[in-house]
Amino acid sequence: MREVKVDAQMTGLLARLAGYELFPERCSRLSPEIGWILKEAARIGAIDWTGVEPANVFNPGVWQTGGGKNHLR
Amino acid sequence: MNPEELLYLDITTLGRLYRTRAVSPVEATLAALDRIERCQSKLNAFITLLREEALAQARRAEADFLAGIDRGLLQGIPISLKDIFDTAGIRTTAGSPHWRERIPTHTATSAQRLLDQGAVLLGKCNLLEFAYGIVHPEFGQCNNPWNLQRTSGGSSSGSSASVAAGMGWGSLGTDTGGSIRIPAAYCGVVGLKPTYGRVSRYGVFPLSWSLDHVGTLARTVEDTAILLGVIAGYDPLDATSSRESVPNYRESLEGGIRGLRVGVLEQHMNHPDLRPGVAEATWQAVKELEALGAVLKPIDIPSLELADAAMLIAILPEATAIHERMLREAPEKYADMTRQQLELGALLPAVDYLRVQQFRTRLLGEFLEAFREVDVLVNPCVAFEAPAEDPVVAAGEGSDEARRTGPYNLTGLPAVSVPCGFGPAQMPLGLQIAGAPLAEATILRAAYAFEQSTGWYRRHPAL
Repeated sequence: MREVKVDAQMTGLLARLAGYELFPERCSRLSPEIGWILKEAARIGAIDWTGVEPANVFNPGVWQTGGGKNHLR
Repeated sequence: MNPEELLYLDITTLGRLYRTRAVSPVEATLAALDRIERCQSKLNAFITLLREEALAQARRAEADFLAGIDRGLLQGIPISLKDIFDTAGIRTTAGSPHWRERIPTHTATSAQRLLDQGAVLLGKCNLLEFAYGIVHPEFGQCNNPWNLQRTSGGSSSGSSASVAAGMGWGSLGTDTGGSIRIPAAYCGVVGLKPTYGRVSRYGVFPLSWSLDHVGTLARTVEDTAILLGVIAGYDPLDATSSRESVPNYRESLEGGIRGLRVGVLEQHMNHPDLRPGVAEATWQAVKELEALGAVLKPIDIPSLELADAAMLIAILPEATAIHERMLREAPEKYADMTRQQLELGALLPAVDYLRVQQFRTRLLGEFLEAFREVDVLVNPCVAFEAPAEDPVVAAGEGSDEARRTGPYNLTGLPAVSVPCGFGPAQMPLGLQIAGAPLAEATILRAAYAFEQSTGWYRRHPAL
C-alpha cells in the first residue's frame, strides 16, 4: 500500500499544480484533511482490482434506458 | 377546523375537502403563509416567501375546482422547494452570496411538474450553501422545529423543517450523501431519495453529477408516494433520467408486508458510532416490521467499510469541478468551510477518483447480490439525534452523519427515511429502508406499513 505523508508545504504544491495559490495558513488547515483522504484512498487502491470488474467506471445506466439532451445554461 | 388541524392534514384528505368545498385552496394557503410568517424568525426555514404569488395560484386552483377542472391530487396543495431548484422569474440563491440576486429563466422540471398539477408554491427553502456541507452566515442556520437550539439538518434543511412545522404539505429537496434523509430523520418527517435517474435533475444546480438525486420531503408515506408519482419519469432535458415507466406508487402502498424479506444491515446496526438510544429505537422498529409479518435476515456488505472514504473521494472533485469558476473568481464569497471543501477537491489525484468509480461498481454488485436474498435493507438513518450545528462534511462527525445514507448515493439505490421514534434528547429518529433499483414501490410499502402501525407521524412539534 502506498505511503502517504502530507504536510502544509506539500498541500501548497498540490494546490499550485491545480492552479490555486493558497496561503500557508490555509495549507496548514487543509493538510491533515487531505492526508486523511489520501490515506483512505490508498486503502481503496490497495484492493485487488486485477480483472475483477468488466466495467471500470460507475454505471447506473444498467437500469436506465434514458438518452435525452443535456441542456447547459 | 382549527388552523393546527388544517395544517397537519395529509394531501389526500385536504384534496377531498377541496373537492367537497369544505375547505378552499385559498384558506389552506393563507393558513400555511400565516404559519410561516409566525415561525420564520424562530426556524429560518425560508429564504424567499411568495405570499402574493401563492395566493394567486391558490385562487386559480379554487376557480379551476369551481369550473370542474381537476388537474390531479396536487391541485391547490401548498408546497415548497429547496432554494436550489430553479424557478423562472423567482430568486434562486442556493443559500450563497454568489447567487444572492440570481433570477433563473427556467423552472426545474420536477418543480414544473408539481406546478402543472396546480400545486401552490409557498416559497424557496433555506439550505446549506450550494447543498454542500455548511450554512453560509448570510443566510443563517435553519433550526429544528422540535428544539430550536438544534439544527434541522442538511442540506435540505428548510424543506424538512417547514414540512415538520406544518408550513406546507410537501417539499422537494436534493440528496447527494443524505441531504434529504438526514434532515428528514432529524425533523421527524419522511424523506425519500429515489433511484438515480428516477427523477429529473434538470434545473437543479448540481453538487455532484454522479451522486445527486432529487427527492421529496413530506409528513406521511402516502404524501411521499403522491409527490413521487408526479415528479418521477423521463425528461428529455436530463440525459441521466430513466425511461422506465412510473408505477402508481400510491396504489402500491396497501397490502401489508407479510412475507417481505427484510435485510438488517448489521454493520450499520452495530457500529460503535451509534449514540445511546438510537440503536435501541431502530431495533424496536425492526421488531415492529417482524411483528407485521416481515422475515428478518442479517446482511453483510463486505466493502461497506470503505464507503465513507469513497463518498468523499467521489464528491470532493466533482463539486470542485462544478464550482471551479466561482472558486477561482470569488472564493471569499463562500462560507469558509464550503471553500475549504472545494479546495480539498482540487487536490485529489485523478487515479484515486477513478478507482472510487471502480469501487462503486463493486459496492453496487454487493448490494445487488444482497437483494437476491432480501427485498429491502434497513438500518438507522443517522447515528445520532439532531446536533446543535451541522457537522463538516470532510471530518469525523461528517462521516458519522452520512455513513448510513451515503452508500445509497454511491450505488444509486432508492432509500427512504421514515420516523421511528425519539431519542434520549426527545429528538426524532429515522429508520432508513432501502431497496433494489427502481423498487420505490417496495420500500414505500414497507415504510407505509411501519408508519401506520406505529403512528409516529401523528406527533408534531409544539411551535
